[in-house]
Amino acid sequence: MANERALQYFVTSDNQRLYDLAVKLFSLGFFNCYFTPQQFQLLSVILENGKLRIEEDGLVSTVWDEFIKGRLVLQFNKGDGEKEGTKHTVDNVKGVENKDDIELSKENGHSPDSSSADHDITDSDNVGREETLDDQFSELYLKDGVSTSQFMCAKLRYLLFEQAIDYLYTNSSMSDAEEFNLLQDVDDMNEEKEETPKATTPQNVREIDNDYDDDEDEDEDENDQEMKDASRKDPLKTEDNEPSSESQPTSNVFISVHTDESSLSKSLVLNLLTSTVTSKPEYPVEQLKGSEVIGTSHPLLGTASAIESKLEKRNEARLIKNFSKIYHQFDKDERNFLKRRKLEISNKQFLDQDNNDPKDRSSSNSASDEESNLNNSEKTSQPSSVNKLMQLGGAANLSLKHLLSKVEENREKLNLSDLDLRSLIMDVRKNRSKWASDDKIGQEELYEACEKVVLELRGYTEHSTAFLNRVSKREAPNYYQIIKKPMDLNTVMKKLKSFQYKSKQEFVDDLMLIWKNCLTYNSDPSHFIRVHAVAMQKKTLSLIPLIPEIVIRDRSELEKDEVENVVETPQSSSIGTPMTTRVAGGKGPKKGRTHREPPTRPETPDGVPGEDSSQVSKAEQDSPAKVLDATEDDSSKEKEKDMSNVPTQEQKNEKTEKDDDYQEGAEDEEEDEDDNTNLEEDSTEDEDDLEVQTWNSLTSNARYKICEKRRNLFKENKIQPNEEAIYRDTYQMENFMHYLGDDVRIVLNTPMSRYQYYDGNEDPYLIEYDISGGIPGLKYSGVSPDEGDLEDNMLVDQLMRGESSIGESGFARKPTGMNKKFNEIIHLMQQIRRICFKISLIRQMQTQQFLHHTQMKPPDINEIQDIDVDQLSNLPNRDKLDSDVSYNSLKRSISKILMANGFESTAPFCSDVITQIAENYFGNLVKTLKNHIESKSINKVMGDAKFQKVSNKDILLLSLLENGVESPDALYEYYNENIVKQISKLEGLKSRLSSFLAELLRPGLQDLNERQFNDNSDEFLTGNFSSEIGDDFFGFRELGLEKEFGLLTSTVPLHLLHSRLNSSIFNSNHEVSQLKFDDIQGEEKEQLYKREIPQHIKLIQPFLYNIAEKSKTIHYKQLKKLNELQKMPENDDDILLIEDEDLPLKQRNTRPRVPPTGKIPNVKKKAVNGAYFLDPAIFSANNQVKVEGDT
Amino acid sequence: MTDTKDKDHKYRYRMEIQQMMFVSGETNDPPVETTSLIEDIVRSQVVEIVLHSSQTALSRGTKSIVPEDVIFLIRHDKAKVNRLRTYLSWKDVRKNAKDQQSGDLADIGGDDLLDNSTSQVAASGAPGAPGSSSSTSMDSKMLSKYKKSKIRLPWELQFVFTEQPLDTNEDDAEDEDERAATLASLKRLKTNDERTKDMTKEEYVHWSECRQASFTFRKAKRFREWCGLSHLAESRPSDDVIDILGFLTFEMVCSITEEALIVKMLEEQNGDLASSTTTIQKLQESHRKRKHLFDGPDKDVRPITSSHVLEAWRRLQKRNVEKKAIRNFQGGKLRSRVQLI
Repeated sequence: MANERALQYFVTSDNQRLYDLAVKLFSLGFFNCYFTPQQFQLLSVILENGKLRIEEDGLVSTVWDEFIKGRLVLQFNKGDGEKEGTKHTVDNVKGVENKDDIELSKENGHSPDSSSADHDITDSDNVGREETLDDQFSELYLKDGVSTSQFMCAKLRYLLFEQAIDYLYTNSSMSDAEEFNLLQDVDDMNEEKEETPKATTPQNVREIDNDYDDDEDEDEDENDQEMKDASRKDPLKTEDNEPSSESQPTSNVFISVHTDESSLSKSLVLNLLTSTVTSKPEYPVEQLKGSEVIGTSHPLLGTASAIESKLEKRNEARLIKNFSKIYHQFDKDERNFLKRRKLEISNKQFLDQDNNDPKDRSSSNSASDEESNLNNSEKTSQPSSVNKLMQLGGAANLSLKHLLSKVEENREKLNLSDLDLRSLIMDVRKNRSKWASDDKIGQEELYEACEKVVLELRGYTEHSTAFLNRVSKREAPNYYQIIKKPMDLNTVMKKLKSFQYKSKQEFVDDLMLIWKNCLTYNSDPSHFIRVHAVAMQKKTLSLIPLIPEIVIRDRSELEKDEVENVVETPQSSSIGTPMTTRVAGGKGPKKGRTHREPPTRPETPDGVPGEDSSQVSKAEQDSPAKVLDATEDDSSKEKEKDMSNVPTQEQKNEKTEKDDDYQEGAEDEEEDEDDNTNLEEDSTEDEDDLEVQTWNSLTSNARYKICEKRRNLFKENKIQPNEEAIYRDTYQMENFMHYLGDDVRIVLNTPMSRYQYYDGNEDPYLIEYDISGGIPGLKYSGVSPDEGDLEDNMLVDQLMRGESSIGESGFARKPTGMNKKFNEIIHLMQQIRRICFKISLIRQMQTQQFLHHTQMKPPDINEIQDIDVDQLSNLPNRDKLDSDVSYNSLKRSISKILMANGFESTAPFCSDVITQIAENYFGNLVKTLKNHIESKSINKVMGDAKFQKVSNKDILLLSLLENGVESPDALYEYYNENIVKQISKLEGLKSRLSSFLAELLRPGLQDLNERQFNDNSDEFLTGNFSSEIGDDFFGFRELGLEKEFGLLTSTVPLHLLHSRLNSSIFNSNHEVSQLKFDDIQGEEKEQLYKREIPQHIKLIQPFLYNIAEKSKTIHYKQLKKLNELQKMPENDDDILLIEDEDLPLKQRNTRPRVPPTGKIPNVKKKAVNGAYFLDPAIFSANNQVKVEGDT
Repeated sequence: MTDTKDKDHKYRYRMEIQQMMFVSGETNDPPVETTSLIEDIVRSQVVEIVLHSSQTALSRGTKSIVPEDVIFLIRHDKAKVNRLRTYLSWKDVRKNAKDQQSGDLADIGGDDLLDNSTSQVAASGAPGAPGSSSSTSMDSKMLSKYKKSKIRLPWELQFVFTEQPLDTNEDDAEDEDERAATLASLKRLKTNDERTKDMTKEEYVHWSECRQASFTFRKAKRFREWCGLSHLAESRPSDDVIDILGFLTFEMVCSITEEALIVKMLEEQNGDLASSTTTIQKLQESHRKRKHLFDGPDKDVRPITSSHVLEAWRRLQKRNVEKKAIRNFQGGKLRSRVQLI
């Protein structure tokens, strides 16, 4: 209902109604958060004077009408200097009257400003300085002319239209009655207004009244200012005062009509005093559910919120809430990016410098740590119990004071000795910050705070970039003539790191110097950098109160003081409050005052009066006092100058200046051009729009991160493959959902964001930058891993218990077809291998005297088994074709094929490679098949009768052909050749090998049963043949040892075979020859003695003598062995010539073996060559000997 | 002068190649270009063989090429391997026979033994080979005896295992391959038979001479020089290897000639189809059936030209589908390697 009615106002674009609405909303505090203080003031002025009707030179309008139409001209009067300027625009009678007004209000305008600053700074020495700063701080950044009002107008219209409805609605929804009232009010007012146009005369009267009231207003204005002062002290009161301020029309405004001669158009000019606008605004109370908003802290300033008024905080929070309603553009990303990068670079520079001297610090730290430990034990007498605790950790652990006091409170409950406590505290103290020093009391806290402030300022990239580094001479050649003591944020940081600050004041002085320098150098009030400086200044001022008032003192000094204190007032540090008992907490501030060193730098502009109009002269005054302590850093100067010369849009209005700037810009170095062009895009509107501004500063870091990431990804205009890709993930989807669902708070851009909201540290979620997550998540949440596991376990359990049965998985191998053949082949091969082992074993036995038992170990051969690799894959919740399992199954098959081709083992890598090749090949086969099936080829789909459609069979054949199988016959051939034939070949080989084995075994087992050689000669190796030779081969059973030896009985015989085999291989020939000579038995071999040698033919005599010599030595050796040397025949002639067979094994001549062909190749030939004839009898007797002799 | 000398130096086997071509079906005298081209091809193949086999030898750890290295290169062509095997075993037989019966059996180991194929004809009992008149019972006995000492190749099944059975006299299992090989050779003999059927005595003598043509037989030195063996292989390959190369070169010339004949035949068929004047020509031909003394040569008697040989070479070099199947769907260039023919 309300909305509909409210909408009507916008549809009809009724100025009066809009005005009423605006006033209403203003009083409700709706606009509090949407405008900067100055804008807010301006608005309040406009609203106050909105109904002022002006009828002059044919222009009949109210201020509001002009404003809402965007035609209101603003003119700001700065004070005395501006008077003349105002005069000539003032054609009105009222101008004269207002002169006093201006003067008065100017004076008045000062007081609240300075007081507002005063409440921040307690130090009276610096009031003067603060004042000057404050002047700059409150410098007007609104512009004369139409533009500001036009912008304001647009903003207001937007707010009214877009936001007011929501606002009204949400507020009124609290209670129907309230809603009704509100609407009623508006309606009533509308009705009133509707009547007003009819009566023109009252309007005129009213105007006159207004003028008439002016004098009185002066007084009231003063009152107003006073009230403002009061309200500043107690912000809550302001709310109460607000209605009164609204009710009084301000007098520092006067309205005139300015006629533009050229265009013949008349415009309403609103003359304002600068101070009116720059004064600190009081906001009307918001009629919101306060509890909702108050809890949220200032997101940007975070820690700084302590000094912000609650109202301001609330405004911020409101703004932030609204972020989600505005779609932000990317226009400013580039600028933001550049600024952030600058910060990053300077950070890096800073770190580099910093790394140069970490040693000093660390060494000093460690030294001081030790010292503190010593001190701990030395200090004994302290009256306060907390101080006693302090001793435990040393006086330096100020950071633990809260902990310590807490500990002390509950001391009785603890059963710890002092020693225990001390060790505990020392443990805690280990994590102290880098600033900690035991020698310098208070340093840790002060520097901690200072560092935070500097970091905060540096991070405020919206405005801070220009102040990061020193100004270089290249940038601003005359900079060091004007600024005698340059300062920048990095220098401050450096000074911090090198412990150059002794107190908060020094630190603050340096900070303020930066802004002051800037404002001094860039004296042109319209220069854009001043805006930055002012903003930074404001920020600084808001942060300063956070720094504790600590003056760093040397420990020794402090201790001296303490001792004095203790002696003088032992009770002064009472036990009552922990604050007073603490060394730094209680004494720090006190001593800060008493021991205040004179300001280190005499150049503090004590004597400089806060004359805002004479900045240059002030700088000149400063210059002699200033000490040029800074080294001249060219690069940083360059940057500063760069900033100072950049032409901006702000200067659009002032053509001449802009031209100048362009000339300067042209003179600049090339490298500056980048920045120039980028910064040119600065637009005044953005500066003015509080909402956008806040958003900018709040999100700048997050935006920078996103842009940086994207920039890296698309570096050099192509996608960088090594960069992290931007992809959609679930948490972003969740954030998106959250973002849409919740308009109160800002959603974080982190995976942990489920129930967390923006708290100032994390990056906020920016929907505009979320290119990947803007799609809602799926409704189906899926099965959580836990649930999945549970189900899986259940099914497996069922299976284990036999409650359910699943068939074989697809990975099971059927014992048919090729698989069967392959198994057969592998089995055969294994058997053959076993036989081969036996053969080689026997060969070894024949050649070697002894065998190590390890040599007799049969090879370990595992039967191939077809198991179901992954039967569980048949479970309903499992993937039937898991790629890993499939791969391994394929690998298994391939290993089998390898085995069937004779490999005993493969390296894992090899089998992997082969598997992958097979995988690839099969993949190709299937791809070909798929291509053919899905092909849109004419040949395939041709309906023509002439072309037969390609059948599935053809497709299969074709794909086989394309993959190297010319026809199915080839496959069959392969099967036949390589598998079926292989089996028969292997079987043949096996039988031949086993018969060969039997042959080899024959001589050793001659006395055994022939039956054993039939086929399974296995028995001989495994010992199974013991049954053949009688169960009790060793007689163990007879001895009753069978149980003790157990297995022994069945495994030993192989060893026993050894000797038999070994000897048999040498004896076999002899026996065979004996058998041969059986036929001619009866012919005794002659025993030949040495003395008989001469009886033989001469030809053979040398040979026989030779043998005789040999025999003699052998005899001698044998007898010596037996210790029967005396048996040695004394006469050489009695020596019996030894037959070849009787020689020891080594000396025996190896007999030539008959080759398999059965022919003795050389005998015949040589026999013929040897052309001499022997008596057959002698020949037969000496046959072998002769043969040996010949060979 | 120098040119011809160079040429002579380069092409030394014109006669042999001509003879081989004659054996494999080219009835005409091929032009010098053809034989030179074939000789080039053969030489390049020999170089290829020697290089690759020395590589395999090197991977075995030796520098000298053994026959197995060469056979390994053609192992996939089972028929050829079997032919080579029989050739080698016959060579063995001949050697042994020579050694053993140095003087006495000289008459038996005459021509027939030298020409193994003819003797095999005799062994398999194929009639009609006039030269095998003296094949006696003793001959066949010897054959059956010595045939057993056949060459075993190291990639045969039995060498998978550590122990090999003694060569017993039962070869039933493995002569299936041989049977296939003999079948193929029988087919060859049959065609040879067909060709020689109508030959006169002189013609047959010429034929049998041609059949003995070889790159290496009794000209091992020339062969070595011809293919630059000393440059290719580090150590001097054994005579066996040279013999195998001789056999393979013979096979090469045969196969390329056969292929070239097919090419020529197809070309003539196509030419007939293509030429518009065929019908007229045919008419004319039919018109004058009688041949006159000074008529030009018949169309059939056109010899194989170098273009035919080149085309045949291309066909023989065509890459096997099997070999490139593994590269399907992957693109990339196939590395080509000269295939042995």
